[in-house]
Amino acid sequence: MDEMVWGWKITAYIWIAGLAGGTYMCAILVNLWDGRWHRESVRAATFLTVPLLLIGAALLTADLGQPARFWHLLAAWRPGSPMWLGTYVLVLGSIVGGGLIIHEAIDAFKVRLPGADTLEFLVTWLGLIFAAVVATYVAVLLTSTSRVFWSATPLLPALFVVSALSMGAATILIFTRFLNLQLSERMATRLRQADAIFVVFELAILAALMVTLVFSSTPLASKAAQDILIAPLGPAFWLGVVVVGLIAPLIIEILVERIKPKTMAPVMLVGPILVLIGSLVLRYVVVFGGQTQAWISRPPV
Amino acid sequence: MAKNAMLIDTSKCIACRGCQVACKEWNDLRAGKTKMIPGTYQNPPAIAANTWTIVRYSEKSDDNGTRWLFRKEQCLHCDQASCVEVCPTGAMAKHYDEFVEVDQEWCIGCRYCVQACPFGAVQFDETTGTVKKCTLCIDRVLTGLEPACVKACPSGALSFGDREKLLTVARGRVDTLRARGSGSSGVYGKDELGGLKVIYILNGPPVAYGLAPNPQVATASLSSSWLSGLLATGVLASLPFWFLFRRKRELAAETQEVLPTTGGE
Repeated sequence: MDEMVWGWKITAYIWIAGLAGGTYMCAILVNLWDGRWHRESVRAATFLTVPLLLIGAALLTADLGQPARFWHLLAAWRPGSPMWLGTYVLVLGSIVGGGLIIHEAIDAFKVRLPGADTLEFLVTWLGLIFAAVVATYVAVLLTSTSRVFWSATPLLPALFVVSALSMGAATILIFTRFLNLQLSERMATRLRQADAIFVVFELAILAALMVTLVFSSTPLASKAAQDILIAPLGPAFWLGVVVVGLIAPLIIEILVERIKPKTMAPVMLVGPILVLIGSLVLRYVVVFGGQTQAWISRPPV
Repeated sequence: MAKNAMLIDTSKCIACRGCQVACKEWNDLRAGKTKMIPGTYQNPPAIAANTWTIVRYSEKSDDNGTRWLFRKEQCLHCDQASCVEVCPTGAMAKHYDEFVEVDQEWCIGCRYCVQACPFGAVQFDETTGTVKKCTLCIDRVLTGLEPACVKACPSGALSFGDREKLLTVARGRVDTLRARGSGSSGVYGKDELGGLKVIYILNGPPVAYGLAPNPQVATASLSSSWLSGLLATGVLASLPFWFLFRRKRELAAETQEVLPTTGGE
């Protein structure tokens, strides 16, 4: 492979950003569409999202060549740069998230402060917007480069978003189980079904992305697709992304629908865990695959 | 638009690599362990943090036989510079509205500019934790001198001066090359990316020299990327939940059944 400008720290960050954004989005959207407030899923998502954002910020900072100059990002005004915008959303999202954690902690003690309902409503919506931007901006950032695989099609943001949502549904199922939070059977079933739909969407977008690349007129695009579909990233793509991350969870979900084991049975966690592993491998393939073909005007030597 | 420019006539380049050495000397760039690409004298293999320019060797076969094409690679100081557009701190900026420069004291080493440059001309320096690239010898040019590489070139392949005059020279040279039978000759950099400050006379199609025929600024599709991402978020996120809960509500309405709530709901 050609030189890797961004490596495992950026891969891990992109995965964590998707995990955080997807989890919060899923938790809130389920409530919105159901018309009822499922306190436990929102609480689980809040307690998970904020630490994830902080870990992500730490990874980003550690990846800088000059980590001590991190504040230069915050001191600048560069809204046209997706990285600048994403950093600000991360910082503001962490502050809003910190407020949400305090709110959830107070609420756990059954204390209701005056105006809490209005504030909760506003902050929840704000959190949803931040979560959507966090899940989206990493892909927008990649498309705004001169790397063929990242910039040749507009499908990467959609792929990352749907993968983030799939991770979000899986994470709520796992996290509520490990924290022994009571998630109703109806809610757990809906989340699993939603995850299966997200996986189908992801498969379709991934296929469209690869077909577009193979038949793209952009120089080196088909070579980039070959790097991912065959070598050097073929095994990771087919085994890690397609089989482990997409096909296997889908089959497990279909079997679960037929066999209907108990909600708390450990086997119910296999699908969601595979989804998280597959999503990590997907980000590895995208980040490293984007850098195999040098630059648009500088083919590999 | 840049007032001055550098003209690189690839048809006159003899690949002596004197420009590479002159660049290293003037900018005090340390030497590193390097290697030659087998079958060519291209050395080092690529631009690096301590090698801001190289002569690229490409072998081309056509009806006239097989020949070597040489191109001096470096930062082309684009008018619409991708590195400047994506830089999150403003460390990468245009100076005097002409020179694309990195502020070494403000760069955080995020390497976004490295990914954004369509020519691979910006590179990360592990020792300083910042990015490095050709400065077009701004320190020399502002004092009335020409860039070090231009000064060193023995074959007349490199020249520096008024951009409009150099473009006229370039067009004349292309006409000559075409008259000699090189029909695919052309000028590269007049309009690409808003106009480059480094212009090439190419003795063949851009692709043969490893140049994209129509390079785009990295943020060209930024709005559509945001739109597709956020639209995808809205549609893809809502659709499954809407579908699942709508079905449940319809079922409940039909059976007049009140759904039980459990566990903190």
